[in-house]
Amino acid sequence: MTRAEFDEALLRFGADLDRWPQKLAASARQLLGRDPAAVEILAQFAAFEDTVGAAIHPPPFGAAEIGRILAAVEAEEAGWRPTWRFWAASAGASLLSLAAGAMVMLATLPGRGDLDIALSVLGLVAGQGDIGGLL
Amino acid sequence: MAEGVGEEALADADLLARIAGEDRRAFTTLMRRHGDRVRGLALGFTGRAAEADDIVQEVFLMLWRRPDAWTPGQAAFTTWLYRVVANRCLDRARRQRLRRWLPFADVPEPTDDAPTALAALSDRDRLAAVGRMIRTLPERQRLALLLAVQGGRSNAEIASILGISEGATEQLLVRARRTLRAMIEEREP
Repeated sequence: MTRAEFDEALLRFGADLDRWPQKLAASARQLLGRDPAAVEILAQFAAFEDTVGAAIHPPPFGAAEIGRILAAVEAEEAGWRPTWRFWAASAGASLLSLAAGAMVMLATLPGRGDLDIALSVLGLVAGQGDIGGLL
Repeated sequence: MAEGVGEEALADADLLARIAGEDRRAFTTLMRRHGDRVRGLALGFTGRAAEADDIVQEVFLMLWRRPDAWTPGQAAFTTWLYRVVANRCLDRARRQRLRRWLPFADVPEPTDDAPTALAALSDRDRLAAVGRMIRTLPERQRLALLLAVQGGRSNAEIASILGISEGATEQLLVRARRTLRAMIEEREP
């Protein structure tokens, strides 16, 4: 392994050689054993990783954060949610609407004579009637 | 055995089963167990505490409402949870990009630090500057880096979380680390 290959592997797998693929880690350890410059490269990369790790170290997630989420759960559950009574009332209202619609239709239907004409026309269209039915 | 102690010892799957029965104590235990990593990834990605807290709340409320969203056996719960958080982060970033196109958009750009040499800054400011540099990385590179450095995830796990191949993950990490190292070296000769 060359220094350039070592640096590339650091970028791929990080500074912890124990997390590298075994063969690659073995080659890296051989390089580190014979090349002080490679040791320096590793030290610099580890320092870089430490800096990055420290830069993104988050504040702890504690009781305040948990409390806020639990409060959100409480608020959500205290809000309106449909119950079985709501669904039963909705179903009842729908049935009533259907019934009312049917009654309006029946009340405004054409007279019996008009119905006969309509049925005859339908029969003709279906080929089961004669023109006399219309006269 | 006290109930609380028992819950601390429960596996994630068992906690989720209890959450399905609206067990708030189990929910608290799950949040305590995973809150750090959820918030860490969200905060590292967005750089804004309020936005990160929104993501954390969304994720845990989703778990409260749908504790069966995770299917045991498909992926480890932690891997799946990271995937959920990563997707939320990417969704938010996408929405922010869209909002910037709107004529009435009023989305402030993240403030970047002035090009001061890092060595001239206090330790705290120096780390804050590096944090801002991280947030200039492309979104997927940033997520891969955060998962590797902060989450301690292996490349294989990161690949599973981001839904990409291991080779693609390595490329994301190489680019992210190379870019970030160059940025730091430029400011910290």
